[in-house]
Amino acid sequence: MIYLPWFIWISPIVGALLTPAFAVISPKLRNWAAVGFSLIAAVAATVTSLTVAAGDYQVPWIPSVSSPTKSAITAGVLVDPLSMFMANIVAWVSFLIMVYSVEYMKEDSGLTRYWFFMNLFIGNMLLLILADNLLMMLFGWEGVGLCSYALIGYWYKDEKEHWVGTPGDTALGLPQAYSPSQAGMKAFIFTRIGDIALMIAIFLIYAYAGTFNYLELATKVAGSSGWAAGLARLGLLVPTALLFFGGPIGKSAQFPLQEWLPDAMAGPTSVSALIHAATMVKAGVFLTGRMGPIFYTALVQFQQVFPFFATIAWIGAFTAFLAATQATVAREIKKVLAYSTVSQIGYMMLGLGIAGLGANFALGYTAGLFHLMSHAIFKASLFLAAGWVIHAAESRFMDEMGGLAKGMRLTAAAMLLAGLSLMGIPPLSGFWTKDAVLSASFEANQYLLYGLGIATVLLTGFYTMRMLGMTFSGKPSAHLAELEHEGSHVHEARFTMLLPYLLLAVGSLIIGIAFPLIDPPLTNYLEGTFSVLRIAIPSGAPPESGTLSITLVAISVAVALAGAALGYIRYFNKEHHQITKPGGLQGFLWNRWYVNAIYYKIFVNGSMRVANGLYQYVEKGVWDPLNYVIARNVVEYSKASRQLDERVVDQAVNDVSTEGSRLSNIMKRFQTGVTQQYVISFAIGVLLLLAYMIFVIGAS
Amino acid sequence: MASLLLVGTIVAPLVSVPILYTLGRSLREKTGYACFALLLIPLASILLAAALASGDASGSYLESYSWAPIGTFGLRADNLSIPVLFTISLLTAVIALFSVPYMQHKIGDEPERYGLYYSLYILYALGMVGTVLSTNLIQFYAFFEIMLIPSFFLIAEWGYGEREKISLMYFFWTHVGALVLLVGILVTAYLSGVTDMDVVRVFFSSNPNVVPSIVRLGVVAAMCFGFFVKMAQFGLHIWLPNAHAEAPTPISALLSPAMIGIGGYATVRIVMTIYPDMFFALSAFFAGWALVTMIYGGAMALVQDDIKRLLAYSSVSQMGYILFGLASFTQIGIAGSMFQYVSHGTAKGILFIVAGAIILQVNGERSISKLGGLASKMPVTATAAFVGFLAILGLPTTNGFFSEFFLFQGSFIRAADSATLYRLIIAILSVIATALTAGYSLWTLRRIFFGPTTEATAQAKEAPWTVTLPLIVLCVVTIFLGIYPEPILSRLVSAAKVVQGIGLL
Repeated sequence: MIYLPWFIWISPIVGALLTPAFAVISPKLRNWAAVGFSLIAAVAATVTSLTVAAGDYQVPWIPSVSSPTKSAITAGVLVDPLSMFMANIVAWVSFLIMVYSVEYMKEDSGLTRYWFFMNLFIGNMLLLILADNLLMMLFGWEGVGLCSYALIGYWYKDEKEHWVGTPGDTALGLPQAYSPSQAGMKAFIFTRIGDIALMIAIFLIYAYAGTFNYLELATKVAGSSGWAAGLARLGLLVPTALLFFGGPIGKSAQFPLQEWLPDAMAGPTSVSALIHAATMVKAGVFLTGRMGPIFYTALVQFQQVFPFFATIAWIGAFTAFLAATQATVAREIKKVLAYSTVSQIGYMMLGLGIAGLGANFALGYTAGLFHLMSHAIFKASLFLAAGWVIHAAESRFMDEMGGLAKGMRLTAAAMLLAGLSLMGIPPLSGFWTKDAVLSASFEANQYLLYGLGIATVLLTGFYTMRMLGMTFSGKPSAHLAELEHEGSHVHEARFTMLLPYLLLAVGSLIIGIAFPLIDPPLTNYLEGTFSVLRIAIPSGAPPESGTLSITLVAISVAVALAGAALGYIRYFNKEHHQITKPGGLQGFLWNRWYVNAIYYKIFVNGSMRVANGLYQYVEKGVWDPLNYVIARNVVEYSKASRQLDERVVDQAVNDVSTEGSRLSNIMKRFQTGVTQQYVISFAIGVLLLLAYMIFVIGAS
Repeated sequence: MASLLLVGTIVAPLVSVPILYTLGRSLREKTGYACFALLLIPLASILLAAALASGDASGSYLESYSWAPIGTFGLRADNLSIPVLFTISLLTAVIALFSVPYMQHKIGDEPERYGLYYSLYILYALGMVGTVLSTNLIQFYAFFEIMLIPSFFLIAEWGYGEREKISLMYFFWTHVGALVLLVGILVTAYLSGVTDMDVVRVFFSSNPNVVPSIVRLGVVAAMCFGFFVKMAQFGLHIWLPNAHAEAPTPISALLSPAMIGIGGYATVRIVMTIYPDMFFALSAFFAGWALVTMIYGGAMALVQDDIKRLLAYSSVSQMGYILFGLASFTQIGIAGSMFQYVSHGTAKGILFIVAGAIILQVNGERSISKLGGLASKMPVTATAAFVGFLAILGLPTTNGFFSEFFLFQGSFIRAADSATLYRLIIAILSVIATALTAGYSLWTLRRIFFGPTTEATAQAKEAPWTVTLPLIVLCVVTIFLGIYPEPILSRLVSAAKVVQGIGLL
């Protein structure tokens, strides 16, 4: 049984590697085999969580680095409640999205590459979840980033229809529409910036702890000889924790590194659903959850818990608000969902941050992770449904849709259910989990954070209804009328596409209805993570996620309904006009608060300008001329002694050279006198050697 | 002891020089296949020597021959040299294959010139292997120069642009560097009375105070100058972009991945082994210098339009990484740096072959702005370029990840131990500098391979097998070592332990 946990992440990777082989046999086999491997992973995850005891299943990897202060590096799979919780969500949602992909992507030509990277992604995502140490985790972490890059840029030929953003749109004079290959690169670089911070933190931790293993890090954290004390002595403990959090900020698209995710929508919608909504962007939340308790133990010894966890909570709450405002003016349906994802992840981060600020660590911790689960389900459903909507309407712009519900009842129903979950309307799962985060912040006396969260609820209600209204209700747009005229009727999706998002939407409803029942055991289960790490985490009050205070619930439901009502009044049953770039506050939101443009001005244009300046003024201005001066002098000198060159060397070479030898020809080519240089400089070497032999060896 | 195995890696190529030269006239471009076959001999010998070395208690396989009165002419494959030798012999072999179509394109219909190219080529390979195998300082210097001569002629004969001037500057800089190194070697030999590296090392470690430290410092400075010119550290780098960009591409693919890093190897083998304390004294300064090189090389790469010049500046930056790890003076840092030699060797080997493939298939086009959309036209080349750039930017499952990870980890261990703000800040800045590498790597990939095709690339086709096979071989090595680095890393960690000094961590 000890290999079963390994099986979870290895099987999709094997699937990826076999994709080209299956492709040779038949495209159909290739497609369904890819789905099959993702199913194996999902089954393995479930079986493991039911049958395998919590523990660290290790094999040797890099034993050579071990020394008295450093442990040998092993590879291992850590089976514990947190990893199993995540692995099951990821593997099953992935499987459904893979099923959807078969039909959704069928007309595309580069499918071997698609399936390869999809399975590689699933494998790496599971690896990052299951890894028992930071080094191995980085493999998964960078691996998912790589697959994300490759799949955002899937349509690498950059045809216009695959761009994201309104063509010709600019902010501060910089273009705001991105081609797939550009969006992929942008995503990679943005997350890389977070990764750099993460790597610095890992280097610092290892320099003091001598291990990457989570369990060892947890046992070695405390005491005066622990790694936390080592870092704290130099005042590096809080900075290290914050730098570590940089990785999750980048990966989970939190402020200030949130700008890559909206443009990542240039990839196929199935990719957006899998990577940029349901799974990869949660990796940051997961990692914060993985190391959060360990950092808590580290920081609590030195009374430094507050700055770290307050930063997480504030970044989360602020991002939730920021992205929600941008979602209210977006023109593309996928961008609404992307902003919404950023915003919802903000809630999760808020939960994890609140964990360290309240009296009961487990309260915020489980709330954040529960919201991760419910978001993975409803957002995957929304994206997959949106994929069909875009396909059917032949446009990614919501103002070119409208009235679609008539042609696709089930899709509209799925989107409505999932949308209600997103808004936080009872009894859907999103209601319970988002409220757990909000009430945890209220109970931790973080009223400002709570206020930001509530404001976001209002916005969420509004933008979700706006999206549903513009897409499904009212009269069809001119674009749709034209399509109709050309004879293509809007219709329902095929079964294999419909089923995944319908299941997910219904799942969100069922989990919501059952939530009061499953909440206590699941909370207990997740709290088991702390005992696997063998660290003491305060759980003063009993977990309260189940017993929500009625007032808090009433407030958030009322606010959500208010937002929804606003959206309904403004966008349901309306004529659709093309959205043009708005001015004023809306324009500010449309331009993403100008953050994206400012980043480009400063970092992209700025570093190019610095590099260009260095090239012009230092490389071409200083070093090259210097080199030239030296070269000229050498050549001049050579010319002066060219006679010698011709008389002695060429003569000698000619005498020596035989018929076949072409060496003399080469020599002759260097009429500038290189030969001369060559002989003289060699002579110096030989003379020095001779002197050495005579004076040193000879003398002894 | 002397079983003629390693001496064969020197003698076989040496004997091949006239053979290839004569064969060239009749075999023409096919001489390259013969050259490839002959270069499999050193590769096989080195793998065999590595196997023999693992059986040995000290992890080394040594052949020594009397070389009176200078000392011993020794050839040693040990934990430090085996990874380097493996990289060099693998690269020289596969690039001989790549030379076949490339030099056919470059030389064309002049049958007598093929022989000259391949005989110089194999001599160049011999020089590099000999340098790394050397156990004697004088022997080392001799091979160090032998490595220079054929490469100089190769650039001067088949280079691009102002090739005479460029090769002259290449020769001038590296030769001046070598002469300064020679002064350091001779002073060392004078002070210790011997030239065999092992004996010199024992002499200095058992008589630590016999030579005033200022003299030792001077010697270290001289030797490091010689090696850092080879490694093109900032300020000593100006010969490199021209030479690597304008050399015939197969030679660029040896200069940059295999040759310049030997400066780093020699720094460990000679300077850090014989004078560890003095190197340690200078290491904080070297670390800062290396950081400047990393950043400067990366910034220069960012603004290049010529693929080969971009790769050349990237090499400057990567050599900065190597010196940075060495300057941490920690076991993990030194092991990481020497592993970086291997990673950079395979990755830059891939990338220069890719550049060559593009030059071959897109009518000699080198300007990135005129390229685009090649991914669908040249899928194997594009995939290889992808792997190569990922290794350069240090992404997991490429060997570049491990080498960069460990060399940076080493610098953080040094920072933690010394507890100085300076060490901490340069360690942090060095990791930040990797963003530049990611920037130029991905941007270059995008401009060459993605987007719509251009006028130049519309008709391009995949390169022949003599180009793709070397790419595939190097990619396999890159990824294998990226998943399981132990065969290289375990040797290098043991090798780093041999470097002793007051400060080694």
